[in-house]
Amino acid sequence: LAGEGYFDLRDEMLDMMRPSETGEIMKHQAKGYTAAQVDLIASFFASLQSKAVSGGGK
Amino acid sequence: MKADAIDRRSLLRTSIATGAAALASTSARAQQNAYHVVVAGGGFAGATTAKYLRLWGGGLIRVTLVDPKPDHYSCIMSNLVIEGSLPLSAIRFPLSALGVYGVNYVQDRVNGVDAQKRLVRFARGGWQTYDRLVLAGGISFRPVQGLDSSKAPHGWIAGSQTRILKSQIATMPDNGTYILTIPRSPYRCPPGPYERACAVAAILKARGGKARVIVLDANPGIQAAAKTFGAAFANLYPNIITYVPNAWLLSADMTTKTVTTSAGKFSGDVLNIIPRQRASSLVRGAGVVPSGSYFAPVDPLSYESTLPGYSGIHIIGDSQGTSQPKSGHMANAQAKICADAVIRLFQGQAIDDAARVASVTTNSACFSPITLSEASWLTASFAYDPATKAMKLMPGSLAESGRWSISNYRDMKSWSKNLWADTFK
Repeated sequence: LAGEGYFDLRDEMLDMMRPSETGEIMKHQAKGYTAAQVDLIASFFASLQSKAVSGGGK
Repeated sequence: MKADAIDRRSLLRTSIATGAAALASTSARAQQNAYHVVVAGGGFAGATTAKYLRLWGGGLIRVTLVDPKPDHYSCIMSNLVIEGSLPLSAIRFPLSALGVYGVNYVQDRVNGVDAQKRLVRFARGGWQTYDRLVLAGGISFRPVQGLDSSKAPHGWIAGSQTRILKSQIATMPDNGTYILTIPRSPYRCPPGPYERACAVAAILKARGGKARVIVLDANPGIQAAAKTFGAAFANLYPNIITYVPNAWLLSADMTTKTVTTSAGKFSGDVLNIIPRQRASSLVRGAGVVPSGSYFAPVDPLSYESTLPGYSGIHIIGDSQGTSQPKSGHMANAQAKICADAVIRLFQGQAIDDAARVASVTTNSACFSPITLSEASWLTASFAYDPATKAMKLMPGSLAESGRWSISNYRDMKSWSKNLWADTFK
């Protein structure tokens, strides 16, 4: 995650917070955080230097 | 970006690191190595603290990590070693690897603490000074009459115990009986015993034969992910697993391989006895566990002891006494809050200002193998509650998968890999 874009990181986490019918673990993990905390988390990882930024593949 | 396009590994890594992000400290501009922190214990709690003190400390802090064992064996995924799908080496992590961050690993045992003078005694190295001491000793076991854990392994501290249990199960007769005793809560890894029962049942089912699993639970019911494990016991392993609640272990006989419980006597071929637990001898020896208690009371804003006379001593992971579950993932999260607090305290900053208090959050995810190729999950998040000065379960955050799947098994591999990397590498 280090060095990935702030907006991508933030939006991914906000996606997790949205209601969904799927019983995915991250949906529940996301309930532990406020939008303000998500913002801090995205800022933190975006500020780090990446060892090797990948093209986003799995 | 659509949710279904999200890289799953990244998500799992996010969950592990979230505790860190909101708490990341500003870099220190003070003198290099101006302070000395001794971290005793190199499990998930201690290794993470040592690493993050260096990562976030800006060189302000000299970190000594002390543990008598040069490698940590992870309890997380140790059931896969018992199943034979991972070698023991896959869960072994050399503590010297944290040297890359400037952590000084010392192979020694702490056998004395003078909290007033801020001195800690190493068995071989003598007395050392510290500015702050972090005790991360994990658990120790309360005595059980007749028990010899080299014969009736707990498998609750990974390593040699994992090897003993694996060997005993591998050589169990095809019509044999495996007995698992579960201690009263709180104990390390709330879903762990039920996961262990499923893992062993999966081995026995694959082997064929008529071997049985008897689960003797001192608690009145399944302590974690009850829906998932209850369904697995009833639907996957109905002819293998017998679950007996309210079965307190009273004594064990190593010769006849019998356990005596409040629900009667049970004999088997393999006894997997997990005794009741308390803070490690390291933590108790330091004096931070009051008499009549089993775990160390701490302030969850820093994990510093709340006992008078023990300031400067922090207790994290399974030895601390908050209501958060005792797990490797949780220990990793607590370690980051502790490291952040220590850095702030050295810098003369408050640790209880509104912004920081609002960011003190921990979480725990846990994946459990249910069959040899499928897993389930359990998760919970906690936040600091200023009113009670305690960590409180976040509404709606406690959840379990309720089922098991191959994709959960894949996620389990990613989760453990990322958690190990964040902790030990």
